[in-house]
Amino acid sequence: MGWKRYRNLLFVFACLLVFISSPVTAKEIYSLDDLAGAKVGGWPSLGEMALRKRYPDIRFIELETIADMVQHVKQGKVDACLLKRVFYNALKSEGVEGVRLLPEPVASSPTGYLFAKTPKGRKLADQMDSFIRKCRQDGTLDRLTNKWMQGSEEERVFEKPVLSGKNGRLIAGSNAINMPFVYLKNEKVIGYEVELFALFCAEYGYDYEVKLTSFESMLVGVETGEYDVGVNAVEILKERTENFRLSEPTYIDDTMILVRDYEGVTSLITSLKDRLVRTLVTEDRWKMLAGGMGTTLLITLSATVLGTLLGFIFCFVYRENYRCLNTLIDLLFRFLQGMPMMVLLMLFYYVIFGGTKLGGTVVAIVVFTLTTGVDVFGMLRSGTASVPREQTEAALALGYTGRQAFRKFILPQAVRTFFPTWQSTIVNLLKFTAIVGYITVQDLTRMADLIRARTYDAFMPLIVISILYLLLAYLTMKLTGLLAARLEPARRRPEKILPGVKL
Amino acid sequence: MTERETLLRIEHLKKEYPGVTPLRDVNLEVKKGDVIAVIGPSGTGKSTLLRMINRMEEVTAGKIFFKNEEVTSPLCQIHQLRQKIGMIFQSFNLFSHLTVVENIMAAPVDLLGMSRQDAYDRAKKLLARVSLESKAFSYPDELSGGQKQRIAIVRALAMEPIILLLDEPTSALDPTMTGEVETVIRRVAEAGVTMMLVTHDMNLARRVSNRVLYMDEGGVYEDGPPEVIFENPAREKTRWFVRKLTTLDLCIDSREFDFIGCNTGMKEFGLKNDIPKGIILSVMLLFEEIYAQILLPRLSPFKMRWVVEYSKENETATVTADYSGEPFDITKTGPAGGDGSDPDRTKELSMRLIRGRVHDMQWSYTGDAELGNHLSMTVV
Repeated sequence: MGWKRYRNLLFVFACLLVFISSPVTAKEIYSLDDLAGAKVGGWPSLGEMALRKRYPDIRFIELETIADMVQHVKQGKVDACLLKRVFYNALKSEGVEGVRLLPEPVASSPTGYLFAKTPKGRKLADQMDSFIRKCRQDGTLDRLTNKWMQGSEEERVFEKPVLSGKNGRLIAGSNAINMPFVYLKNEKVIGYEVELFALFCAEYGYDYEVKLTSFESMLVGVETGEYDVGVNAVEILKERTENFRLSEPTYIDDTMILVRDYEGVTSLITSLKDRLVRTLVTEDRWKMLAGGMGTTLLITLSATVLGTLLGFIFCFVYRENYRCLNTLIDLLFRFLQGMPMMVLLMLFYYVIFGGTKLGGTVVAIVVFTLTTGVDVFGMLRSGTASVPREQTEAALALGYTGRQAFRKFILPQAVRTFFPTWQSTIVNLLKFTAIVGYITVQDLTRMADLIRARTYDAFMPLIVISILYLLLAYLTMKLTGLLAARLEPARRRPEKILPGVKL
Repeated sequence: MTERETLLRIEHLKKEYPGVTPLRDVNLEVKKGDVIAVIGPSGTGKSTLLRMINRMEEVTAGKIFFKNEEVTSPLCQIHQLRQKIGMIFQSFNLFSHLTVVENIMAAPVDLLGMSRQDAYDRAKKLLARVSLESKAFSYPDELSGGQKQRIAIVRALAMEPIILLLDEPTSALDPTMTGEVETVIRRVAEAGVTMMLVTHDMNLARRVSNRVLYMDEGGVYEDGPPEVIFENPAREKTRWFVRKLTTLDLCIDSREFDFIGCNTGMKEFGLKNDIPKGIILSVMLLFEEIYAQILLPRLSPFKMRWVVEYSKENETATVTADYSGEPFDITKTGPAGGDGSDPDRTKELSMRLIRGRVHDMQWSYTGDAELGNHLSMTVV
């Protein structure tokens, strides 16, 4: 029994290992001219435009994180990737192997801060521009460049200036996966752009807070005023200036071509162990995962309890047969069931609660409570419909009112049939929470993304969280199963049936 | 005899469904101590009438008074009245998620405010009366139909109802289980509980009730004591209905008829009327010999009417067979009216079998009738 139970899991694991170690054959690239007709990944950027101009027949694939780029190149899923030199240096200092840069740069790309084209955004951008100019002249930029771009990881210490905050607090949006510009270390957001931004805040009397999100959400957030500024090493592209106000460049870097390096790859086992250490132990990253798991659990548990409650409330309200309330519930039912979960999350976060200060976690709990609520409501509706009408009749004939009969006799019987479906709904809920990263919530999946961004290792964090998710799902099944045992009347122990009655 | 209290008064009650009106005008008074069996053909609104008394079914028109309280009034707190009107269903309707004892205790505790201990003690006492004490902690799924129905009766009695409505309490039961339920019902009736019982089981009706309502033509067609209704009904439709109970009437008008169906019909007839097995087997044998061995090969076109009438007092069944064709007396050797030249050996064998089972076998012929041959015999 024991072996059989884990056999499937082992099989999956073995497959994964084979997959990691067997790269797809790709086009070998030794100079820029080999790029003609190649598949190239990266961010939409000046480098991309320059490359397209030179080689019109390349295929471009958008990749968001540097970890993804490294993985795609290593596995031959793309032939090359556009990457700035500083990012390459950073990943080399993390000990990433199997990739190298072509010597020639493709383009020179300036990066800076992103502001909205609103009066407030313009005012901040103007202040930022003059601050950057001042820093360029007094050598602050050079000092920061030396520290963050050229130094080793030990030298990259974030010196946070004293912030008075007398002119208010600025909310910065960032995906925090652009080492050394902006990244996460020991659960703190640091980096070149962060330190410069902190200095700016000190100078102009602001306080600040960095909210973690995806790059796309950061763009939307700045536009809608959710964030005052995007601290994300945003490349200064012409088409971006149509919708945004971009600051003076804080740094100008060469965009290079990252290709696969066929030499010098260490053995699989050493590298696996090393990768596991970097995923979990270095910089206490397991704490991030633990925190993420806590958030995932918090959302799942809250939504389970509140959603189930809501479902029951819907059910009771629906039975009262108030026409407008029922129409409302029906509409909500259709609306929530017909929406992709991610769209719902974004809709609630940016539109419905856009004007409020509600955090992502709260919004996620609200959304999942609602969806679980309508799910539970649906289950209860079909569950109660499956209880024979005669059961209600029997209760009514004894003198119970309709409401009493429903609560005492129909609902308990409906819950019996409803339970297995409910259980799988809760496990599904747990799995669905993996997308809350889109609305800045730092759940387990999001934490893995952040770790991947630091270690440039696409696999190990994924494997770690897949194991964690499996564990959580198993636990959820077990816990809800215990509840089932309590709720199923036929499973009561005889002495529990009539407590307090002398038999 | 002192005048008994009127518990239930029904005035001009009408029930209309889209397309049909099973009850047009029902008027009825139920006195304390009445044990009423409601009988009648299907679709005459017997169950509907019963279910309207505690408003499980809405009333189209008319009034129902329960102890001077108008059940049909919109102001009536019907769920409070229902506490005093017990109801037993054809499909038992025990709460499947509760044990037997919880089924019984629920309503007294929840609705009468009885303490759980008192309710439990009462449940135990009642269970003992139907000999199901040992099943107190069983779930309904674990019980037989008869046991379930007995529990359902106990559940209703736990509320100490003033009147008990029984809606075909034995119809969903195996014939072997009706006995145990009948015993319980009879005992409850003897204890003085007023009852109204809708049933298709005439034996049950006859044995339990002290008053019978025959329902037909949209109302109470005939109302009287069981001896009168069953033995000597005053009105024509009642007589017809009662006679049909003890009479099996099969018309066979083609050669391709359902032989097995006829056999099953006779078997069921036997069960329904408590006819001794031997008699019914004899009737079936007669049918097979007369129909399949003797008449079928000889008659064309074929038409026969087969009537079995059972008399409880004499414990005899009278069988008559009317059949078409030329005069043909099967009791005589050789085909009467035919050329008579070739005595049929198969027929002789059949006749010998038949004679062993019956006496009083007589044949007559009426020339102008469609089924001219008339054969009658008695099975003991």
